[in-house]
Amino acid sequence: MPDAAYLASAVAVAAAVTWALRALPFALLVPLRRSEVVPHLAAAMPVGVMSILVVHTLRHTTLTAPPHGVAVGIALATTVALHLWRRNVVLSIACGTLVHVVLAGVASTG
Amino acid sequence: MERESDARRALAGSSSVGLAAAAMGLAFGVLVTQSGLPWWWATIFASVVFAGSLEFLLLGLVLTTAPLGQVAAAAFLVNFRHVFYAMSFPLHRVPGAAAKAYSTFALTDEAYALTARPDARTWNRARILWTQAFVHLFWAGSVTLGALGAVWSRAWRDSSSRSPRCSSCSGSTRSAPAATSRPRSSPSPPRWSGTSCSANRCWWSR
Repeated sequence: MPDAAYLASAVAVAAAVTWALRALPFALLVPLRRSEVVPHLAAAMPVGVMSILVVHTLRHTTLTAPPHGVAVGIALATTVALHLWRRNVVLSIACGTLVHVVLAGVASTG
Repeated sequence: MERESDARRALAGSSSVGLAAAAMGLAFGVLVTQSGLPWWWATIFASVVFAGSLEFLLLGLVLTTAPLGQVAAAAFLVNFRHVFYAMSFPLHRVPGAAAKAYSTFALTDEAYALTARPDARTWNRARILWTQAFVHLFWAGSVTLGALGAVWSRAWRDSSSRSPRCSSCSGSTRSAPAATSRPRSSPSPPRWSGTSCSANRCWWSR
């Protein structure tokens, strides 16, 4: 079992690196605020970042071996379809998550 | 009054992503308890590191006592995506050094997703900070609940398994020698290492 001093150091290191990655870019951006590229990037970035997060979430889904990402695929389709239909974030997230939990449970037990 | 309504609107706005994060948080809390660490380390991980996917990875690293350099490298790689959030997160609407410090610390995927939406362009300092605080609370709270839930369910299972058949082992509970003395370098972290011997032996002897 790792001791408390090691655990505290590991937490401190992880927190410091994470906070640096979140805070330092703001300091670097201040001189760039007056440029024309940054406002454009600021507007275009949210869609790009969300796309990266989707890829980041799905990157370990195996399509070549059973169950061929069926649970993830159906859950994703449910989320997208529900959102296009109702435009309700809570509904899309909740139903998509529920579908995935049920399908993943079915796939792992039977 | 104004401050209160900002808080209430922040709670309503953050509840969707907060509840989605809470599902993951419960799972992480259970995992920390199952890994054999005291439950409150789950709360410390969740509130101090405050980066969901990194916390899952970090738990695996600390259980094998990985070098701190490796911890730093993992944190850098997993959270590098955050450098792009500075492009559109409205930190200029959060004046004050302490407020900026917290706002950048709590700049999670969820906080970014909520504040990057078009309807968030009118949010003031209080609304942004409350939104981040509620996401923080949802995450740390659900992780703590998951960790405590695992502790309680284990205690309940141990006490309910103390039937007459198990009298041979009920006298020396809370030692679990086989699980805790496993070497740190074992590839898979010991699960249920805190399970008392009464539960273990009774399962085997049935």
